[in-house]
Amino acid sequence: MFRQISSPAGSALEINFEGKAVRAYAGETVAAALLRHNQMKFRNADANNSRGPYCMMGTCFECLVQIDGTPNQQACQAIVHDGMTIERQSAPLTGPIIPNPSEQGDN
Amino acid sequence: MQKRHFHLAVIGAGPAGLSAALAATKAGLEVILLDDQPDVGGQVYRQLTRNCKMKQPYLGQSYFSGRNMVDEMQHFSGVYAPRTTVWQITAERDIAIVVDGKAEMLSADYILIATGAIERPMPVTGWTMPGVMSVGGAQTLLKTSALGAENAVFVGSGPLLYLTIWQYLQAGLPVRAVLDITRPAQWRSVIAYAPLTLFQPKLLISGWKWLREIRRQCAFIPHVSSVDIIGTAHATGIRYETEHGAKGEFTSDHIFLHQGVMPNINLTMATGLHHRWNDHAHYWQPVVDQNGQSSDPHIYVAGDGGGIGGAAAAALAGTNAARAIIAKLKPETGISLPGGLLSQLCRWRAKAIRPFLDRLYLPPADMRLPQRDDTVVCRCENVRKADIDAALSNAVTGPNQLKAFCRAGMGRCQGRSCGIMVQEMIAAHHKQSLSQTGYYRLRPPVKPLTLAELASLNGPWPV
Repeated sequence: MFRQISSPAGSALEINFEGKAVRAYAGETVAAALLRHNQMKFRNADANNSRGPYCMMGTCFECLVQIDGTPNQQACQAIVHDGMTIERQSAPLTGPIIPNPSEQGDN
Repeated sequence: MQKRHFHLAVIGAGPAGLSAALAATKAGLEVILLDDQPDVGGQVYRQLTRNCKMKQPYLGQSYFSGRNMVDEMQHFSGVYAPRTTVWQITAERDIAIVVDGKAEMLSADYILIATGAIERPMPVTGWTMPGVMSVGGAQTLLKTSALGAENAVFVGSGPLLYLTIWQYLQAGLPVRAVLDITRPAQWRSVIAYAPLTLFQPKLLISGWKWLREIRRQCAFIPHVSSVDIIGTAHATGIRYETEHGAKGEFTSDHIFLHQGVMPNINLTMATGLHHRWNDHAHYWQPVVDQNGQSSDPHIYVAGDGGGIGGAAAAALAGTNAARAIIAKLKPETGISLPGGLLSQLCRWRAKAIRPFLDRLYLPPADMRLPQRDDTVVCRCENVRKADIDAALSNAVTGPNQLKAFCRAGMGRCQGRSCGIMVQEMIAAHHKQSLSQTGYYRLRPPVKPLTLAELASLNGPWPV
């Protein structure tokens, strides 16, 4: 079990993991926010083989999740924002490689 | 679109990159500091600015000693680009970056690569299961979110392992066990280098303090020679065996592995710089001169990315490389080329202990290499020891050919996890040297890039 040792630096906000609301703190990574709730399984490498964060510094690419509809995001690098939606993903990747242009803001 | 141009582009905002960028701007150079993290400090001083305000004494003095450097960034007059990934340096020394999904090309007269270190892989059975993390990862959680695991088992050796366990104990976290893989033979091999440790008494005392507390407060199992992580969906425990044949088992949901660090060479190799195999430290490093100049006279390398020396040595190397670049670009400033005896002595002293540490904590071959057929070697492509052995018995001769046979090294991490293991497995099979065996041929982009990101480039693609 992960334990909060001292109070987190950022203000509280809410993210959504696999359909459930989860508390997170501004400025922290998606991986840290999920591990705080002891969610350790982030993706499936194959049917019997799941993976979670390993290096926490963007090197190993084990913690890939789908964030706000975009797959293959490194949970240990992505910073949480209020209302962020996170889902587990399976490899080979699912979902669109190029995001739908209508969802892309002013790019 | 006109490319932004700088006198100096610094890649990486750890101690080496930070001190170089600060020194160069002070001398009047136009500098851009590129870093993939949201805050300066690199991995060693990660989130230091915020943690200084939060009062977390358990992180210890070595961490907070970076404060001056990080604070100085407030007066940085160059361009600071956080959350920016460098994915290519072209033959013309243009730099391809991506930030927030948007790619851009920059150019610079000089480039300083300060991309730091990564952890040496530790291929034990079950190391891919959720619940197993690197010790560096566990420490990052402590620094960035004040999160620690209860009743974890720590496995391995080396300063980062002992520091992190000590930080855990200072934070009041119960530790289930520490399985230390250092063997008596390693202690015997470093006797000749022991006097060097006296040049860095602070480090020596810190290390002694960490180990004393660990032995006092934890179940400490020395001379561990084999471990298997138990679990099906996630880690539930660990089995071990010592060199003397003693066996045991601990239950835990958290297993943290560490057996040293090595230079992060993906960018320097993909840029085509010359590298050499360091036999005693057992890693690849770029070939540089005393000021950090690489085989390309306009590209410098400083800090752990050029060879492991630790944070203090990295900061000195960064300043030194910046001085060499200033001397070339702005001779009118009258800055003398570094290289004086005193400067060299200072830099030597800052890593005097390394020959001792490199040998003492070089993991034994049975820890560097997978021991069971079903142990995963390439985590990205799920390639096991048996798959690699099969390819080797099919007369595979080198790391690049091996990719074609079994896909090891072809995943997203681009060999960062498996490269050095695969190299050593091939060398052992063919009974040849590690330098002769060579490494994966690395090519840009050095981090995965989506087509959308590539397509966002305003102007020609890099070649």
